[in-house]
Amino acid sequence: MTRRSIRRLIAIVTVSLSLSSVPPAHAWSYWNCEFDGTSWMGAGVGYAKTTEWDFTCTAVSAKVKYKVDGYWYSTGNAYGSRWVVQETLHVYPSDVTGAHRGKDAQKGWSSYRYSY
Amino acid sequence: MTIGLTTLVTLVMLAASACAPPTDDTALRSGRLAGNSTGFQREILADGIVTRAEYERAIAATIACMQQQGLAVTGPLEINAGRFLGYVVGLGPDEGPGGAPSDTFESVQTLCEATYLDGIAAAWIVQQQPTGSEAEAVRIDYVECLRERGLDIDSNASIDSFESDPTFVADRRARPCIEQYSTNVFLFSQD
Repeated sequence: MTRRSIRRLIAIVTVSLSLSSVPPAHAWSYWNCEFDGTSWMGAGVGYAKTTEWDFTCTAVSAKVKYKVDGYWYSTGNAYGSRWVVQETLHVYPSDVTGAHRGKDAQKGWSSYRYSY
Repeated sequence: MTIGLTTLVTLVMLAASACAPPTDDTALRSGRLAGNSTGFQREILADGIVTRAEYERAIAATIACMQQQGLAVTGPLEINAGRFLGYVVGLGPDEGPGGAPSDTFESVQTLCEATYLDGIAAAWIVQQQPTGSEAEAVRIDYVECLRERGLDIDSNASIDSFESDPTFVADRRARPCIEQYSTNVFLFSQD
């Protein structure tokens, strides 16, 4: 293997490793509305975030389904024009799922899409 | 999500018979929910403005709708220092090895929100967005609030640039500022 080939192999491996560290995107299309959603834990509280892409949606919403001591709860929706974050009421949930929607100008709200 | 025929029929029956109106308004009578879920909201949105009283009425109607279906609902709860309202719905314990709650309660929640709240709450948030020179004034006050609390935010930073960072949202120092100024991040007022 030549030195050039080795350099190329190292470059490919480096790029592959860096790409694999990018968190998975949760992007959904609903008619002309494209949005994505994530959910996470921070400081013992759960969060869900919905973001629309490039002004394709007229509104978005996010709510959080979360488990505390084996019992599931859901927040109401937070609504936003481009992106929105909703937190949980309880602290220290053991499981968190975001429920995300986008609103298309003609078709109204999408069904919920979930991030895990 | 695939909905079976039985589930669909159940949802329609729930809508028609069970999610009864929380007030005497005849426009909210059962049977309108599934086929015409916007009657309640259309009345409120007719003049193009959602008042605080109408927003509170929509939240109360949504909560009443869920409670009438047997859901345990905590609320109304203040969000962002009372600028917005929310609630928490009990969905039930884990069911089965998948560790998920029953879909039934969530379906009721979704139906009640579609009937009484979705359009009104979305309009309410639009009304709360500052525009023009007011938006810049809010940005300046918001950033100043954060800097006074020790957050390293550039004085020219846009709101999106720091609010979109998940670590910012969870930073306890930022909480009072978010509650006072944000229209993107929704925190329960529990401190």
